[in-house]
Amino acid sequence: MSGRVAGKVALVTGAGTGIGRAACVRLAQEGATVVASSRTLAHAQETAAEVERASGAAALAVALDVGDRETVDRVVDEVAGRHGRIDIVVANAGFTLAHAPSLMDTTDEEWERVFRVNVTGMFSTCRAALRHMPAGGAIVTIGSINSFVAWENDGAYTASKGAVLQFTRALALDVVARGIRVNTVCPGVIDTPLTREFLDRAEDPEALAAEYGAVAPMNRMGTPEEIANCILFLASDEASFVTGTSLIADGGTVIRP
Amino acid sequence: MTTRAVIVTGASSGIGLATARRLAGDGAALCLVAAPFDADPLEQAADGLREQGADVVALAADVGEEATADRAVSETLRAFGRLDGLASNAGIAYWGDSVDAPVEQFDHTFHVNVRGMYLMVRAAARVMRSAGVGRIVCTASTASYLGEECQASYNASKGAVMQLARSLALDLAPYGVAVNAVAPGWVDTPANAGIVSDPGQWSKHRTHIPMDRPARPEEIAAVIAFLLSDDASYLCGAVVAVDGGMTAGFRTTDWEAVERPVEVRRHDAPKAAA
Repeated sequence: MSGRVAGKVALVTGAGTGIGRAACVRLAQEGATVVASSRTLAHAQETAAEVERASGAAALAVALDVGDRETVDRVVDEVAGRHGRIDIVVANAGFTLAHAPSLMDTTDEEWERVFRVNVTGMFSTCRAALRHMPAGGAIVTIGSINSFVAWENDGAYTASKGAVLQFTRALALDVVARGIRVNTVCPGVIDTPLTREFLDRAEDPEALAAEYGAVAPMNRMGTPEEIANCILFLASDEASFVTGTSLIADGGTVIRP
Repeated sequence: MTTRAVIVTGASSGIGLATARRLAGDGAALCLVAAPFDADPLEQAADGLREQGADVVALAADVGEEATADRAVSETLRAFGRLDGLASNAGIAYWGDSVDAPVEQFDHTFHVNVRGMYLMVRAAARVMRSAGVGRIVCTASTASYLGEECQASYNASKGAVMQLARSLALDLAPYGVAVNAVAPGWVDTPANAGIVSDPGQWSKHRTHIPMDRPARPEEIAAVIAFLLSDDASYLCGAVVAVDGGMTAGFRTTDWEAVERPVEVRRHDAPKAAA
């Protein structure tokens, strides 16, 4: 089999839509055996079907709520048992609070839920997968421009993505001697189905979409495929000296005031 | 048929040569630029790539001179009819006490690393801006954001390179031209060979690198190739560290092995007011 990640077993969380789904497709197109996991099994199955259409290779769909730490170990062990190992993890599952509360209006439950999924879920997933990861493995976490800059009325998410960045650096150091690399892709505003859902609730969705795009000097939102290409690069052996690094893919958003 | 034409500066050795080889392998036509004192290795590099079937023109000239950038661009257009990419990589370094160093070293460092970078990017950008497409990668360094003993001029110049890349990225984004930077840590290049291959000297540096080894030039070239490709299409002004984890933080640094160029004087904490 040929491809940039040929023969590798890749586990992607939050694979039911958007960036996670695009990552599954790109990894499969480049020769990986993909396991698409999502909180909702039906969404993972849709991704698996999409992977098969796009790459011709079958993908495994599994239900995995990374915020439910008892099930993470069990599901990851099952995946590893089935494929013998896990070479690549794309710890992508994450969300923000759609009603955009200020930090003063964020409840304990909301704060804890954001951190349970975005931070603890990422940690549990990586720790579980590392028990099955051989040398040459690669973990890609998904940070955000919020890992570097804050966003008004998005405080819990911003704090959680700051944690993703430092977790990535810390894990990179803890597994470097095993020959495993850990990096984070930090997307800007990406035109995902979830972003569209949010835009569609606005009075003039296209005007708001243009406004979102104008946040970036490139004057457009990114696409899930563009982020998937960054994930693929960091997951591949092409990035063999890259570890503990953040790859900011934001159309230039954070380099200007 | 030429699918892509790319200018690579500092192409006679190290990261630049590895980048040239990588891009040639990917099917690009190349304009190689290196300093006049590297004219011989530059010709050898060009001949080697031609033997592998690559279309190559070579130019031995100082990137700090305005005419060099203009010539590199016009030679590329003349030979290949297009300019798609620039790997602006040429750089020099002096090592030594920063307080007593002759100011000429500072001037020379900035002449090549900063002025040369600015002139080269600008000349390429003029063509790319008209075409509405193009990708530029500047070689910055982990020295762009870390201090290091005996490297004041070099580190200041690489800090400038990072800010050039970011600011030019903003100026060129509206025209469809992408500018990004790669920030290598320690790389096993001919320029670093004296340090990397000397266990005594290398022991001072390796302790900072979680991967416990220098990069091979090919590993930096791979990242430059990515940044020059459409796979990096949503990157703009990004600075990508390729450093074996050096800037991620501290591993179990063996501080005993870290030899400082001068004896470190203890800086006592101020006495608390009685």
